[in-house]
Amino acid sequence: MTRQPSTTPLRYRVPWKKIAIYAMAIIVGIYILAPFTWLIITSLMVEVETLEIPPHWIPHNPTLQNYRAFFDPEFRGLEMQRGTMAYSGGSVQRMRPALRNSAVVAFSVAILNLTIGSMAAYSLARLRFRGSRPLLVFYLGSRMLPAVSIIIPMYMILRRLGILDNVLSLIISYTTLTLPFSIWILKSYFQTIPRDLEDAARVDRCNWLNMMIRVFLPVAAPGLVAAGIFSFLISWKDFLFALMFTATDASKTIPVVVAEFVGPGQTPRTLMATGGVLAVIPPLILALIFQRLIVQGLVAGAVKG
Amino acid sequence: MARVVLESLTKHFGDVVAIEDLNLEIEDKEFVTLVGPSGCGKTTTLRIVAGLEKPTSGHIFFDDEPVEHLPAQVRDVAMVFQSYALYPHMDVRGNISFPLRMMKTPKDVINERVTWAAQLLGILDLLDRKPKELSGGQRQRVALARALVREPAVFLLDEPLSNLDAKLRVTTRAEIKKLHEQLQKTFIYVTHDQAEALTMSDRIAVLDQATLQQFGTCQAVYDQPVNQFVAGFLGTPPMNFIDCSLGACDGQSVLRWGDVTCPVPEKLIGQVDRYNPSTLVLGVRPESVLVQKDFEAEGITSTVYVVEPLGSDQLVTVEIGDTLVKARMDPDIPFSSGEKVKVNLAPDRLYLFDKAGGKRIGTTRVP
Repeated sequence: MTRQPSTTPLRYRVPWKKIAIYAMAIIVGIYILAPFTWLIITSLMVEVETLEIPPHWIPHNPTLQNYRAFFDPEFRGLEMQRGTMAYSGGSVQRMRPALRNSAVVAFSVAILNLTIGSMAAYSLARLRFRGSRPLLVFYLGSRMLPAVSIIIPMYMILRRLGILDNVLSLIISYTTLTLPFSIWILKSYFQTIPRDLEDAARVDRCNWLNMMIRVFLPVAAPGLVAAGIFSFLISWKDFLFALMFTATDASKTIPVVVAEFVGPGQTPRTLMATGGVLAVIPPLILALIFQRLIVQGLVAGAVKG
Repeated sequence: MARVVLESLTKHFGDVVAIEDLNLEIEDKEFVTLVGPSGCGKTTTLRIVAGLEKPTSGHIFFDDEPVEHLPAQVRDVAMVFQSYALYPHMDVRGNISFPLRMMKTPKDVINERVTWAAQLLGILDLLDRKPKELSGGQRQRVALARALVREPAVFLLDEPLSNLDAKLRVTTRAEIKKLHEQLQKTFIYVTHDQAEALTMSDRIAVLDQATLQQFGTCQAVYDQPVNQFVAGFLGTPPMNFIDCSLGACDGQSVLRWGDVTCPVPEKLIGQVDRYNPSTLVLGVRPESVLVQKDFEAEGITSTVYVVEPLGSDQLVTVEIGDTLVKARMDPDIPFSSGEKVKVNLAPDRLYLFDKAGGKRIGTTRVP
């Protein structure tokens, strides 16, 4: 017996839940990306265009002169004389040493976090000793203190040590700030690595150091990258400690120098925006290269606990 | 040569006793299996032999040389783990060659040995793959190859088949046994599966609750279990145990349970006297129980409780008094639940245990 085709019209259900999720995602995406997009657009404008009302997203005459100004002092001087570029109070010249200082500080902090943090995290993840849990809670708990509450004591300690206005002061400060979080991230990740791998390496004629270098750390790469990038980014973008502990080009980092674009009677918006874009590029490149490993490293402990 | 001797081996983890006074002598080239339920101490024993754990007390000898103080990396052992423990960041070639690289073996020798091991285990075409691209059976072969390349004195295998499906387990069992015959090395194998232990081993060591229950050839341990635990652990389905007491009937010693009586085999009469007559356990294996449809035949009257066809035979569970007893029967005899039958227990295959300690009082089974 053949079936007759149904005459009842199909009910189409509007996927309201999916629409709501996508709408939220778009709103949040705009909220996060809009300021950065404005920064890039401003860096491609001439100064006078930034003062136009109403403000507009697409530059009428996009230009790369602001970027050229950062790397060509002669060009910058000529443009300032012509009046087509705002005076920056010397901040543009300070960007290069600031980039160098930021890189030195951030990479040093990342390396210290990985070295010290991985050893501490391995002990907490693998060794059974009394007080390990309270110790971990103490590490994290100590970071619940607002940074501003410890800045004066830290200033006094660093001054006593004679390392104010030295990148070393920032390296020590940022390592202190970031190490507890790195230990937490690494410990969680290390706990997901099966102990059998270490046992297999030991049976395969590895001493402890060989086992760590050839087996454990390569397997722990996502966790190490996540901790390293995290500490790098915190060190790169910090403003408060850098402002307090640095005074000259010998140690000033990018956030401080970019803030100094705002001077008495002047705010060179285009140059400031360009400085901001240049400051974001290194961590952005790192994050894009390692994004998969960062996510792996951060969530690995979340599922297994 | 690789004779392994464990002398008074004890291991405590805090208050938990993992191994208590274990004594074992494993001869060179022997395949010995440590078998027992989960938590009995078999994996801990293997890890101590490997050097991954230190014993609390006791000694381990490899060819009369004490090794308990030596770390794992200098003992001449190779281990296959239950989880295979393949290095995920290395390909198969890297995994197999890893121990040889750690031993600073020349490259040409490494290549030669890796090719040999891969060929032996049929994984030559997998050398460039990463572990995550392999099936369970392939990973297990890679783990075996990694152990083989080193040519160790002792192979340690910790439940290597437990992650495989039933069919693969059966085929791989035979391959490991064949490997042992080819390599002529000492194998110490750990499993909770008594079928694996019986089919693969020269001798088996049955452990329970951190102590060695019995150590002997498979047939000896199967036919002459020293206690109720060993008797019940080996054999599928396990031995039937019937709680009974000693009595008399018409001047003859009998075993009673419920309203059932069974004459005490002559061989056991003298041995039973030393034990509490009210706490005995009669043991009989399913293959020694005969169920007869002919109700006029001699035997114990009983009722069929359930029939489980297995293809090659069938398991018939019968109610004898208030006890259920399994029998392994020919699949061509049709039984049905509720059917009245007569049951015979083979008189030359009976075991008697003391319920209090589980110790075997005696058996009519001829060794």
